[in-house]
Amino acid sequence: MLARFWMACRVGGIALLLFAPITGLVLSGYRLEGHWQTPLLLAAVVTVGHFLFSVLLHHLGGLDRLGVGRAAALPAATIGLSAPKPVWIALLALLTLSLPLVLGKYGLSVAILALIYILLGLGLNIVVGLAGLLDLGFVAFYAVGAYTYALGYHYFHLSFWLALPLGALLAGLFGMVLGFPVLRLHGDYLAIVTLGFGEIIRLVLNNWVAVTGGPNGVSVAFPTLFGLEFSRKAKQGGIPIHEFFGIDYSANHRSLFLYFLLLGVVGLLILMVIRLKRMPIGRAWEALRENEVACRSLGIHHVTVKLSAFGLGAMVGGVGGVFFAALQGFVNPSSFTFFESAYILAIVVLGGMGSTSGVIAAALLLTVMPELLRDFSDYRVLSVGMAMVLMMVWRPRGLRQRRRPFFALPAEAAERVA
Amino acid sequence: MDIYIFGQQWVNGLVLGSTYGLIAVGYTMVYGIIGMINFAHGEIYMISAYLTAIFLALLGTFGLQSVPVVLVLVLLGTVLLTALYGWSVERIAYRPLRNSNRLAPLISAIGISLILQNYIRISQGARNQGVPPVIDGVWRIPANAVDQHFVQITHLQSLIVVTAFASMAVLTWIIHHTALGRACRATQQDRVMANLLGVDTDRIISVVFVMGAAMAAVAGMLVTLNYGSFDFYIGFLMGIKAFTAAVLGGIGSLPGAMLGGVVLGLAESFFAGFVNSDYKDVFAFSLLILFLIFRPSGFLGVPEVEKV
Amino acid sequence: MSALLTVQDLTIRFGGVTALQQVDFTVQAGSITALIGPNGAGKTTVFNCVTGFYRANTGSIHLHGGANGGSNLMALLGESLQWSDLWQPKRLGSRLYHKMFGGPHRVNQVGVARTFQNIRLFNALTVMENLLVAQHNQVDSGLLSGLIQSRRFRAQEQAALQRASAWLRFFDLLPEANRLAGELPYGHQRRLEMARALCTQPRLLCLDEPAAGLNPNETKALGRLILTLRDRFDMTILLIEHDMGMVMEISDHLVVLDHGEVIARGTPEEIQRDDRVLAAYLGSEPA
Repeated sequence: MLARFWMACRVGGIALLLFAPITGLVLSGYRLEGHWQTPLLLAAVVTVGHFLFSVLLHHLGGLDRLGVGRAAALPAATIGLSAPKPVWIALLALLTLSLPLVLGKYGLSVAILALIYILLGLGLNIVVGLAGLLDLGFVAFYAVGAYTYALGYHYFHLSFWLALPLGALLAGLFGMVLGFPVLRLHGDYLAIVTLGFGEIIRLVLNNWVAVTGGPNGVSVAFPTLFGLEFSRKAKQGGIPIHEFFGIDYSANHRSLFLYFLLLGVVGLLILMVIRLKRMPIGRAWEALRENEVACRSLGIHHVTVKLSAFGLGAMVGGVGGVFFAALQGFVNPSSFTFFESAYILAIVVLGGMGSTSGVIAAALLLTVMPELLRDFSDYRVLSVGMAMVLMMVWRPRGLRQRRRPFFALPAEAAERVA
Repeated sequence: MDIYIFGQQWVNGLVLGSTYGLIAVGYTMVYGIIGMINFAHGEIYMISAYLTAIFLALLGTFGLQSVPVVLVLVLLGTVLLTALYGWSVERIAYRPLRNSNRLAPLISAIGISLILQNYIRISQGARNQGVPPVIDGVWRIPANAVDQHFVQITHLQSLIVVTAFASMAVLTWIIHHTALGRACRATQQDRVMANLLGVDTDRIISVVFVMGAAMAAVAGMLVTLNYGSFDFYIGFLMGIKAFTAAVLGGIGSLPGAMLGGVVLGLAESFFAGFVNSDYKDVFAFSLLILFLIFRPSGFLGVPEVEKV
Repeated sequence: MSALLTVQDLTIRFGGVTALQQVDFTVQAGSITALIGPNGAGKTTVFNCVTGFYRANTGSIHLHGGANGGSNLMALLGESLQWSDLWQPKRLGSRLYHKMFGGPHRVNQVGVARTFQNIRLFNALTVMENLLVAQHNQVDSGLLSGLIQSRRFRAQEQAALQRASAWLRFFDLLPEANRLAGELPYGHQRRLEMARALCTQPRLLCLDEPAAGLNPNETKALGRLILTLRDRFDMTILLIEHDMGMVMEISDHLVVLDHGEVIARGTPEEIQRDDRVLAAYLGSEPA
């Protein structure tokens, strides 16, 4: 116990050394302001925290019950049918469909944003979680989608409905062209190349003022539904939807439209991912993540299989981008910084890399929480970073055990067993 | 092309490149020893810029006047504390993941990078910070006798180049001629075997992180004195640039890091000077991607042989 | 009997070290051929060349017969581009194609499957999934048919399941079909890896030290399984093994490597009498 105490004191001392100049001496012009209490407080927290943690870990076995340190011993998956019970699906559908009735205008816009992040999270999850490819430039494909719609509308009056497939296609194409030479490289290089690519896209959007409008961005018209518009007065040569149905105008209509459309797209994507996991291509992704050399020895071309995951992820990113542009009515390069990529990655990581429900939960958490905790917005990114590190140190394979598909053995084979 | 512009870009590129080279050392050594891209290294550099400014201001409040003494003290303080940051990051976020899957340390590094950026932003504020000019003085080299154009080299710029190459020389000497360096090279060759032969590989890995951070701190201090201003976000761009330098030179190779740094610095400087300065970062990133695709072993690296 | 695999003049260098020096041997169809030799003799390097993971500097590797009447395994890996290709567009095209799409997976596709000395399973996948991944090229891997679960897709999945179950039964792993590969006991993992290789429907099965880490009883059982593979399934087997008892018992033909060179080849009886082999294993007496 005493040894642990001294150890905690040593850690606290180091913490004090680290914190003292940065948090204790705050630059203001060329002079300093002293905040002596901050580093002392932080160091005290570290010392006490370290001491309590080490005592709990080794003496009381209390953390064992929480599962800390047991992560390695747990089987990484349970086997079972991956489809949840119909009751739950029905409940979930009811909840998501009735949600707009409860939410106000502001709540609805948060819900739409959350859906976009779910979409992006699921897209990146295919790449990172299933295929095990670290993509740090996912935002590039998101940007390609958003700008496809924005520039397409600006120059050619491209409609939202055409922009949707076109954005997906273009983003997928960018992914393929970038991925083909890069995916045969050593795994970590992919992370850096995608990061560089993401920055290139952003810088080009920022600097090519003549075409993209540079930092000022481009504005986008709101999508129409079969020629029906969601504005008070017709602006795009159609009929406003409230006049068509003879109801009162409400600014909520457009949010409702986006919400339900996104809900449909996300639902479709979830279904797709569930199927993909039980298809040869999805199995090949996961196999590649587990062991690339073995895959190649089994006749699987690692580059094309990775490319399919990378391209599909990019396409989903593109779709997300088109929706983002439609939601904002305006795009500019500042929405597509590296931080955005890191945030989507955090969704995948906190969701447990590969788990669909986990990614959805994490996306909800990371979009709704900041709205609820406005006062702590300074600490938002800091806590996301901490969560990522903790997750990797503690449970790199996710919080929950992952389910694997169960295969009923063919009847004839089963008889032999019995 | 006017010769003096050419000469000036050459000087600028060399100064820029030698700082890239210093930071690239951290990437290249860590990659060489544990095969991981230390994504948070750029933030370590950023922290050293803040430490430089803080120590300068601190010494200022004590009324210290002598420039060389101030510089040496600031250098010492910055290098020591930055190295402590490098050590702590490894200890907290990478060591527990030593035997984890391939992606875990990279993701952890990105987490650390977000943490460090926002730790600085919260405690020091998001605004631009600055340091007063400490060294001034310029050498002018006449380049064209007729119309009186000069290539300018500030004293600080020359100090940057000299310090960069001197610290590289010291580091190379340590790696090649000391017992510690031998242990580093052994760990780089074969970690398991080095461990069996009695090398404390965990300690060696820590040492490598410390050395990398120290070099980044030297660069951080010099660049801060040179440009005078910085913010909490400078680590990101500098990090990618320095990583590019490491790749250009051949990741894992120490002289390669310096060579890659200088080549990148010059290339970037000439591109900005003669082609288009808006796209100089795009140019640098494209260089990175092209090298990774077509020559992943860089100028001086050895191609990786896949172990089956 | 006819030759299934011919290896000629195989030489490979890593940096300055010559790992293989003009290695020659043939594997007869329907035989069990063993590569033996002291540690570091280059056995696994030969394996890596035959299965396409390493590209030899010189020499040729041919797999005879099959759907397209024989394949040059080295050509499947892709060769480096040369300046002279610039005015030979056809050769440039073929080289580009192979550079982009070539590799060990192509070698597997023409009928060579392998296992690894240090087992390489997909640990987080179930046993059955491991075997289904191995049939990637035999099932409809199209995106659309799988997404809509077409009749054809389901039929092929069922067929793949059948094939996998058959091999699982053969290797006595059927009760573990729905367990994670990573949690199987060591001996079972070795057998699963063989089953997985067989699921690719190879004509030549390369086993890299299949008996390593097994106890004598398991080794005996493994030897019987390998013999059954040859006799009942007409499988041709190339094998690296250190367990001399098993090698001598089951092999039809032996190739002995030392320092990257073939020092002897022949039947087990011939090899046991060979002085050079004895010298290689025990160290030669200075004359």
